[in-house]
Amino acid sequence: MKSEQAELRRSYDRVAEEYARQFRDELEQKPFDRKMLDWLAERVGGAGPICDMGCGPGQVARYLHSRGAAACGVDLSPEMVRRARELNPEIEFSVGDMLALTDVADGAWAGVAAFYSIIHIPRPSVVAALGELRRALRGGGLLLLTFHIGRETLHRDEWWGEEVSLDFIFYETAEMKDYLDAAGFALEEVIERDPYPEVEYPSRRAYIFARNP
Amino acid sequence: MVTPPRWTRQQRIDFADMDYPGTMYRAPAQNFRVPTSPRQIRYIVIHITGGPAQDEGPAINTFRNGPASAHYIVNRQGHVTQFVRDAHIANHVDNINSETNRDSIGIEHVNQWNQDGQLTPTDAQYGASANLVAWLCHQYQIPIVHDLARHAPGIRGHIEEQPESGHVSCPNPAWDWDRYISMVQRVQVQSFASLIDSLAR
Repeated sequence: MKSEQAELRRSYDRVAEEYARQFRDELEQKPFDRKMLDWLAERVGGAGPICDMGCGPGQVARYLHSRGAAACGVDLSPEMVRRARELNPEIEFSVGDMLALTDVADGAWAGVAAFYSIIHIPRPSVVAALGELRRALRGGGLLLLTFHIGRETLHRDEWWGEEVSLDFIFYETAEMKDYLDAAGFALEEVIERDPYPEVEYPSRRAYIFARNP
Repeated sequence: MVTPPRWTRQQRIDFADMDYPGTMYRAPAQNFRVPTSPRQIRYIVIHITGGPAQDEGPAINTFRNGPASAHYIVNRQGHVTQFVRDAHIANHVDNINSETNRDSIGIEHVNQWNQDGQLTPTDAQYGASANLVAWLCHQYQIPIVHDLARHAPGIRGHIEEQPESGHVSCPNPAWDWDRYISMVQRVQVQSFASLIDSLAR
């Protein structure tokens, strides 16, 4: 594992408890995100499992499960995975690194929901991460990728009183489309939305559906 | 071959190197002063750039080269850039050694108001500026009032703080003070701080 991935794991392990408290029910306040997940679940149908990549406490997997999808979840942080299991005992969660999903077979999934997880992958590694997701998707499998739109990188070394070292990397939509293309994905829909006031960080957001051809 | 975009502003900002947590960019200013003893921030001075630019590029260049500077700039998309730390003195009114600069925080807004065009701030800009000023008022215990009296605690425009400057369009003809002050008053600073924690989603 790269040192920056190790640091990411260590940071999320430290904030896992508070993070779970803050975000486990976030989708209740984000109807657009629920609609995007509805659409993902509908289009994947019974073709196979949908992975919540960078699942945190598993709220996206839980929502997909509630819509009838065969959901599972992967996160880099073992502490986060522990909470996801506690909160959603009916769903399977495992520890894994988006840059090297060593325990995931080629074509294991029919869908991937990567909600704000690519934001921790530095620019030089994005195509590799997307390539790894494509490897884990079967032919015709669908990716729903979300991120903050922009060019900046925000760094935190304190979060809820814990010492962390985290970069939150914003991407331009056109830039991410190029990266998806470079990783071999076929773009289907590219949607942007403004932030929900009073609910989330005030950045514009992108939701991209891309298919493994 | 995918080429990452070129950067015009500082690419990576560290929350430890700035004050307001909603800052999206950090850029250096050439002219600022470190006070000999901790300063008491008593009021906020609102500016507009006035010129034809639609983004903060020219202002970034101006502040980089001095002598003018401000603590923050809010662009028309609502992005906040910090130039000078709150604890330091910027040169946004008269001169770097003035009483006004010593006791205030200066906020620029990208907004044209000259003979060639008159714009008003965007909704995103008012919203971002209101969040910023609400946070500053909370942090430094500044009353959220539009008090026109020079040096009085509160919030006022450049022309009100320094009438002899003749900068009559900074910012008043462009600025809806009633709307702005009521927006600042409505911001819940605690809940705003929690939005920053939600950066991960």
